[in-house]
Amino acid sequence: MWEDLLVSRSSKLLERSMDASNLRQQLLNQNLANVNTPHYKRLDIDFKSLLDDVSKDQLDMVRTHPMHIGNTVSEIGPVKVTRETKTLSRYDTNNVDPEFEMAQVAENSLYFQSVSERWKGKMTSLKMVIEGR
Amino acid sequence: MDLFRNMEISASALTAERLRMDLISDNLANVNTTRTKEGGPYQRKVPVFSEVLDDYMTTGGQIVSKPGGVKVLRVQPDGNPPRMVFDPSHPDANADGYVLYPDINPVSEMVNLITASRSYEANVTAFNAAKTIFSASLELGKI
Repeated sequence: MWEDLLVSRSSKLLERSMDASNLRQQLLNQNLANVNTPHYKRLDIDFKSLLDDVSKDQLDMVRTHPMHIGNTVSEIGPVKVTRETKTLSRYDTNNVDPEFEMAQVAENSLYFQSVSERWKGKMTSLKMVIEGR
Repeated sequence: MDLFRNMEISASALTAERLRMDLISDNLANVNTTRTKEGGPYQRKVPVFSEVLDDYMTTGGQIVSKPGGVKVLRVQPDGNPPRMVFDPSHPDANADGYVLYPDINPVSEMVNLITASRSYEANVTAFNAAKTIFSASLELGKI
């Protein structure tokens, strides 16, 4: 019970999301740093492998109706980094698109902020429970 | 520490782009230079950029590489033959009356300058995004 309250599944998930977001920021910065490096190929998080892990790892839920939505995400597996080699956008075979990277940078930093806000929200409710107010 | 890595990556790019801008200024300043220490006319300088990956060993003994930004491997002359201009009165004219000038195109230098300056700005923005993430994670301890 206590373990569930203090280290809940969703707060673990939020932690992992923040880790992944920080890692993604590193990769996006690396891409932008190498925007003028010939033959450089962009790095990103391997979203496909994340999705595979999620669909493999399922939480059991009781269904009383066949139309109920059952499986929810229980945990994210280790985040993998992938190098995108198949796309081509410039004659020097560098495939960093600065506009796309900038959009992703903005998105990622807002994503981190929203996840951390949610984490803070969880911790505030936990504090409220502990103090009994 | 890994939290600072994203800022270090952007910082390495700022250094590299600034060096590139310095070289472009140098090229533009020496567009009419006929004498150098090495002899002959000035040669246009080009930076060679290379990606940096830092290798780490995990506790399991595996080698993983993490992004480390960009670095300038070397600065090298572009190797283009010099431009010949007929000017017998010039002190550096050869026996036929031709002066060797560096083959620098100011237009392409300006285009490169704009590319470098825009890349610099993009990296400043990425740096600020990393800073936002860092301050957001500092707020986590204030609950």
